[in-house]
Amino acid sequence: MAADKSDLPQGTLDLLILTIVANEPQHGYAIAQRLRQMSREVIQVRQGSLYPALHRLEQRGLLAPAWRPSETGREAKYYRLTRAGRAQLDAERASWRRLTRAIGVVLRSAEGETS
Amino acid sequence: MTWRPFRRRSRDERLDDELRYHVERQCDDYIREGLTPAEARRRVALEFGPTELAKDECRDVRRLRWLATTARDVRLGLRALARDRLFTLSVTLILTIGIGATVAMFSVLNGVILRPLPYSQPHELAVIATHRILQNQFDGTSGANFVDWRQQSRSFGGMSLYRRSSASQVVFAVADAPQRTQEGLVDAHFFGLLGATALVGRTFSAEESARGDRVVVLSEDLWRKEFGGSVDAIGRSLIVAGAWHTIVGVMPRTFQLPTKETRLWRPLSMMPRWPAQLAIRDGDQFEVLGRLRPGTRIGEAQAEMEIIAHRLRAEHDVNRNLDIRVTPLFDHVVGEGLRRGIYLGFAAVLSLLAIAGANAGGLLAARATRRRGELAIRAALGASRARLVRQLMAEHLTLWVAASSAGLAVAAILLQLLEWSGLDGLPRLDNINLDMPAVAIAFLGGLVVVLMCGSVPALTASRADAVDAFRRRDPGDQSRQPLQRWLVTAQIAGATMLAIMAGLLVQSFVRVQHQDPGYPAANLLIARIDRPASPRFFFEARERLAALPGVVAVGGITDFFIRRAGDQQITIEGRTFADTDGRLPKFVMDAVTPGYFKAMDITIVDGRDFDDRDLESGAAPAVIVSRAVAERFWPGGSAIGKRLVGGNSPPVDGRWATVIGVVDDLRREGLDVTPVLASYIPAVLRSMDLTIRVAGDTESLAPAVRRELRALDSSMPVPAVVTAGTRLGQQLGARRFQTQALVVFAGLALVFAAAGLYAALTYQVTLRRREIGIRTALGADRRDIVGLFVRRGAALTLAGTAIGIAGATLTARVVQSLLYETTPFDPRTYLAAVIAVAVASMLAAALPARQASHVDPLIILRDG
Repeated sequence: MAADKSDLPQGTLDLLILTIVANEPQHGYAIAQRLRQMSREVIQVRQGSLYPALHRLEQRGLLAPAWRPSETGREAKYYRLTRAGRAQLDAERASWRRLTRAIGVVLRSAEGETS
Repeated sequence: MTWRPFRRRSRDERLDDELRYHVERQCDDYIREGLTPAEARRRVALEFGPTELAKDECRDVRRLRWLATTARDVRLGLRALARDRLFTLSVTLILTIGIGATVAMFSVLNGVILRPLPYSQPHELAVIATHRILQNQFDGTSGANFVDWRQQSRSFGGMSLYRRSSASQVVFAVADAPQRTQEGLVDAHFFGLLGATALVGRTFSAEESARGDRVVVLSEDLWRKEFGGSVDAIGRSLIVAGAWHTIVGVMPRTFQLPTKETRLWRPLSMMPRWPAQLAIRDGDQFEVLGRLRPGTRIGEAQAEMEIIAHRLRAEHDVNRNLDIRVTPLFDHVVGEGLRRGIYLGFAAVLSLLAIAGANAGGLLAARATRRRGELAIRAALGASRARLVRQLMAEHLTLWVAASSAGLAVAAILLQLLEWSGLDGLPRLDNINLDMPAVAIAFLGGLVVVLMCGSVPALTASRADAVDAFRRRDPGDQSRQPLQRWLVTAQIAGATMLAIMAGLLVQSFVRVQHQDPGYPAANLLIARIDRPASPRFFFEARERLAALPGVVAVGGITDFFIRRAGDQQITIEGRTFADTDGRLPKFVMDAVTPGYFKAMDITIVDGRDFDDRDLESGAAPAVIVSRAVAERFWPGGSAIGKRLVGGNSPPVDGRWATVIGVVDDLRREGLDVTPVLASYIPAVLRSMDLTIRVAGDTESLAPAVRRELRALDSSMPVPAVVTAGTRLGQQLGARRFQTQALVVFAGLALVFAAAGLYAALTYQVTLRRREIGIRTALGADRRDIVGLFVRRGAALTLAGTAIGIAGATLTARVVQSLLYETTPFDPRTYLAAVIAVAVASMLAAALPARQASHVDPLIILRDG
């Protein structure tokens, strides 16, 4: 693991997954690709650990699975955002924004003090 | 995969498909980017991580394969326990002691009280007894009264008559050594009424009983001892009471009626003056056992018997003071005091178990909190909450199995100790063993305790997530720990209660033991002699024994150890007693030899001792009474010269016995019984107990005494020679048992509570190191820091002891009946218990407090 890459805090991975599947249903591989692009290789996700997260979200009823042919023609498991998932996504987005803003304020003021 | 719609693929296969799709797509992409297939695969493997791990985690999410993962969780749990060896050891030890003591006590409760008596439909069996109204005491029943009871009662489907067990000692001989034992002289209905069958052979028939055949049924013990347990014994003969009897059967060891000491049974028709006895109204030769008709309640039977008693009182003058009491056989076998004692012991041991549980719970909770960080990180890495709970539960279940198994072993040891301690006085003691119910209690009880003390921390810990773990870095938040505080308070309260109860029992025990038996029990040997051939035997024996070095005085008495209420009626010249039925309360009347009081070291407080002239046939009848008698009937004056006679009327021949002396009271009847009205007449009986006062080592003289007596008369049963002190100790068996049990329980409870407090405070010190460091850095004195924790310990102790005292006063009534000359509110006992708890608590608090005061202020710099 490169030193400049951060571990994802718990819960953040869920938020990212929900965001990715919000527009259209995706399979695991596509989600992984999107994650990599979105985070511009800054955030390290062991790809294997994506799947437990997917299964957990499915278990909680936030994602609904469906098997159908993928763009290569092979069968793949697609995950679709459920209504509960969308509500959860909205809630988490809002709280994430609040949190980051608050942390930003703290960091800025701390930087102001030290400088 | 065209076949897929026709076959439902398993979840595992689906998972494989999903992950394989990912891996293969990624491989394809890398190959397209120019890597070789091998390189592509290696890179994917690196990025993806072990697929098996991913699969496993997915399965966890699914809560699939619960069982398969449980094995792994147990392994993880074990590993975690092995890492924390001290923790594991203490929790297991605490629970083991709690469970072990509980199981042992339960086995006693089960064996003595819960398990039904080994007779058919035992709840229908009842003892029907004559009760003297004015004296409020039980008595034997006369033959004529029994005949009327049986004819008139409808409540009972059957009644059986047997000879009073206090009068049923008999001598028997198999080879040439005669022995004395307890026999049951029982009528032909006896065995049938109880639904008891012989272990070998048969019981005797109604015909044999009616004909007066000389037949005998042996107990299993006697049969094994004398006949080696051989079936050939049936049909053989042995001498009982001087006549040959044919053995017809053997009763199993569980058959313990009329008494548990009964070793052989003969037909009632063997007793003297049979069947004329059945016509005697004014007598007390018998005891009666009845079987209630199915569906009849004991209260109904009692009511009916009262009506019969009322009728008999009106019809027969000698019955005018007699009532009838119906007691369930069980209550007769297991006395009230013993039952209460066992219940108290069980309640105490349950408190101990609760304390142990609270203690273990506190340790588990502390550990769970300590591991919050670890668990939070695991949760952040994707371990499901269920998974974490399961792993914690696996740890607890491991503790459970370990503690329950070890607890069983401890219980087995405790029961063995109980057996070795030889509590002869306790009924049904041989019925106590570790059986299935005990094993079930060990594991079920253990499970309940482990689940209760384990689930709370498990649930709170599993809720931890990463953010929480960071927030919880603030130590003040954790130090509040309300659960732990409650657990510690509860332990201290329980320990206080147990300490108070143990204190009360110890005080009673000490009082009983220091109760002067009226004679020095040390240095006293008791030797039983039984119908020696020569009428001069006593005098010869006295001479020979007195010649033995170390023997100080020799005397004799009818029966030294027998426990009985007074049963001798006495008439005093010129006195009537309106407060009774015209007769005096019954006396104990003993025939004693000259020298008896000297051997017993009983002071003659007035008048003189007997001498050999009082034994001569022409001598004027003399009697010595106890101080209790003199004070009751001749208060303020001298009893010497007053005249009385045994029996309920003045002597027809005018031969009153003159009181020639007054002696000190003694409590020969057992230590915790108040002195009885005692009178002594001079006599040398053919069967009696020799009392031998010795100087120096009593124990070593016993064989010499036995040898001398055998040498005098070899036809006599081998004399049993025991020290009086040993026997007195055995009489205290039940009391000693419950006292010891409670003291041990209370001691353990105290240790547990102190350990619990210690653990809780130590834990707090660890949590608050930072805070302590800051305080020290800001100039707090070491004493302030010590005070901080000592105060906290003191607050918990105060709350706990207050609750404990309240609990003790609430249960005082239950304990009261077990105490002897001790009030259940005895302030000194309470004070002593509280001091003991306080000292233990303060010691437990001082160590962590000291530890806290040594926290280095630099810690803030180091740990941030």
